[in-house]
Amino acid sequence: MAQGKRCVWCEEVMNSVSWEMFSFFEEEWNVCNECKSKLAPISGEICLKCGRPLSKVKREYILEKTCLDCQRWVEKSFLNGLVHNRSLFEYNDFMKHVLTLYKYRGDAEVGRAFNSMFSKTITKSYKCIDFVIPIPLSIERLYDRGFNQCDLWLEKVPNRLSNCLVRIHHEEKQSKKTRQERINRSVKMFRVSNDDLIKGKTLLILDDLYTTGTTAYQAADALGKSGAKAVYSLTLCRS
Amino acid sequence: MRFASSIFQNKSFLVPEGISIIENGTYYPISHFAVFEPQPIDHSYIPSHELLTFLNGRHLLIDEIPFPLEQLHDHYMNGYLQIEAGIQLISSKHTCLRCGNSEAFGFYPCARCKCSNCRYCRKCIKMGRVSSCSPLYFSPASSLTYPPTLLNWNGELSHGQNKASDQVKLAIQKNERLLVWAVCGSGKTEVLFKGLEQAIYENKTICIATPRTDVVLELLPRLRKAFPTIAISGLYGGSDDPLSPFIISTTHQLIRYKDCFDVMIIDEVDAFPYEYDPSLQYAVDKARKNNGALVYLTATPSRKILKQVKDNALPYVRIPVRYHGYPLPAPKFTWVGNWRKHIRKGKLPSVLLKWIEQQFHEKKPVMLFVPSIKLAERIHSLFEEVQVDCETVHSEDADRVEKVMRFRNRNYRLLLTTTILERGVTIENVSIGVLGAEADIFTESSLVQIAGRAGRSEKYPEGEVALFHYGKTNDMLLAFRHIKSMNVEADNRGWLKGKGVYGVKK
Ligand SMILES: [Zn+2]
Ligand SMILES: [Zn+2]
Ligand SMILES: [Zn+2]
Ligand SMILES: [Zn+2]
Repeated sequence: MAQGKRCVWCEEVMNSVSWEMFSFFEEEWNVCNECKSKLAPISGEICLKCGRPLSKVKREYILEKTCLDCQRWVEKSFLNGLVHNRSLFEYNDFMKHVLTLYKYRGDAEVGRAFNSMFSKTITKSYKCIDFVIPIPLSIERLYDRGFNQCDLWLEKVPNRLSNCLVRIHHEEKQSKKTRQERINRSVKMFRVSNDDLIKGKTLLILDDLYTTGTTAYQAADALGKSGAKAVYSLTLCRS
Repeated sequence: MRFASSIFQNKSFLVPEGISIIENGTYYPISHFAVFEPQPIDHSYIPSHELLTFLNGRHLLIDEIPFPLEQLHDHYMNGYLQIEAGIQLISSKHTCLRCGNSEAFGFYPCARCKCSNCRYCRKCIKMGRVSSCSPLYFSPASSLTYPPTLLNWNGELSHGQNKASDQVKLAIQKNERLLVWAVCGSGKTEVLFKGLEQAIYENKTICIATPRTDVVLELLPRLRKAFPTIAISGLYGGSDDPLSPFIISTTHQLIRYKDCFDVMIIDEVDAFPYEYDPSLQYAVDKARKNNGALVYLTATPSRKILKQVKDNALPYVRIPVRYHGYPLPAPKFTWVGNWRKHIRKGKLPSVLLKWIEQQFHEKKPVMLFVPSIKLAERIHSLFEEVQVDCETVHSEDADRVEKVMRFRNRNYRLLLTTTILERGVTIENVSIGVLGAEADIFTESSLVQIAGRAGRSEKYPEGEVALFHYGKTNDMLLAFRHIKSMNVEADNRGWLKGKGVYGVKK
């Protein structure tokens, strides 16, 4: 066995010289500089609603620092809204690779590298939050993967609330759809197991990726309808 | 997964959670249990032929087995398959039973065993996760019968090959260990044929393992042609051949086998990463039956193997001469000064350029080995500046195979590469250069392999090998001596053609 600590992502031996590229990278972060440099933290002007860098959006699609996709979500007034989403990184090829190792290969340590980053961000930027809720997996998928990737990120977060939001199982979706839902043609993804826990509370939902916003808006809608005061979203990446 | 222990009619056994046999049973992650006594075979039970064929000699996670849990449990209860915990304490160290790792573990809150800190093996996770709660299933290899087979090969063995071939056959017959130390280009695959024919005749399971996928792909068609009536499977990451009792596999894939092979042949035993990765050695040992034959093939045995030879612990046979009988080209040393500084300043060493021009003038393509990918890319751009058409091939290169093919077809004349191409590539009449031969990565065995790319064809046996360096290293001198001693040995045995060639002078 070679000497020295190995990078938890690429398995290369890390040289001890460390230079801090982003303020939220820990001194003892077990990811090498080479890997770090392949991440793309989101910085600069962002869409105030979904947190995507405005540099990635065509000018004509921006209205009052909000992108066109977000303007469309506002139009879907039947949904209880989301205050906003923020994401830490762009979803580049390298991030895709890291998430594949974490979620599909199931290498928990690969994702745990982000834990302290999430903790710090939540402490610093979400002081008003009562609970942080990881986006759940269905029971089948949870059993398959062995763990919920978002739940693991919140291991050290004291106000995590893990079992309150439940992902509706496929069969359940078919049988328990109400008439109203069929009319709305919106397939519900989530339900809340215990309304009392979240009534009047300000919540932060945590996911790995924000793409179209469907997951975040669906979760916010379910939580809102169960009495949550406001719902924020934080994701690792914005694609 | 969680299991409960139970006793019925004086038999103690494990029952997986989710099978409704035990009421109020207490379930634990499988690693909670220390002993995994196999159940006695119940001959009145009729096992599933499909399941047994699938599991035969293999060592698998539940996620890798396409049969329902109930069926697996029935076969276990009736003695047709066995289970054990994937991670166990072995001499008081947590150890992955699939790959042998006892150092690299991770932890996660586990949905399968409800443990908040379930341990998993990070070493072999590429092949699926082995956790503290993962049972490993295996079924001892059953007896087999090959169809009647004749070796379909009419080639002739050289003197050196012939001797080695007899020894391989004997080792396989007697289930012994043997090192075949065969110089690059000696035709070591043909040396296996008679032994393999014998193994098939004796209905023995066979595995030819190699650290590299390239080698699996190269060996498959040759062996299928030699044994046309036998199904031979190729196993490597992403392959989907149906399993057969004769496989050609990367050493990585062997972690999915246990007590399976009567004959284990390891090609390029010293090649990276087998030599540096104890878990691959563990996998090879685990996949071979305890009393199985073990044959190592290599041109450059490691110190560890040579020590066994020296201690008379490992019988060996040496083929010091190439198939075509001409001597191995010995490397020439050329000092190029501080070439790294040159490169940094954007200049290629003029000695090197001159040498390459000379090779091109003689209509020889050039393979130039450099110490790292970064340097290869830098040097590539410098060659482009002086309008030499070239390509670069390295380990992370998806177009590797295609680039080598175009080089072989003479579509371009200069191939820049790292040690990734030190083995297995044969290009007619190629000249070999190494820039920075003093670098640590160019070990004795690496240089011997690199030199072994030259002079391989009978038409152009006198290859050119030039080591450009900034100070001779011990490894460079050892490589030179290694090659020379092989030529001398071949000459002494009277097996050498073309005497007086450079490198044979006594
Ligand atoms: Zn790294
Ligand atoms: Zn937006
Ligand atoms: Zn392992
Ligand atoms: Zn577990």
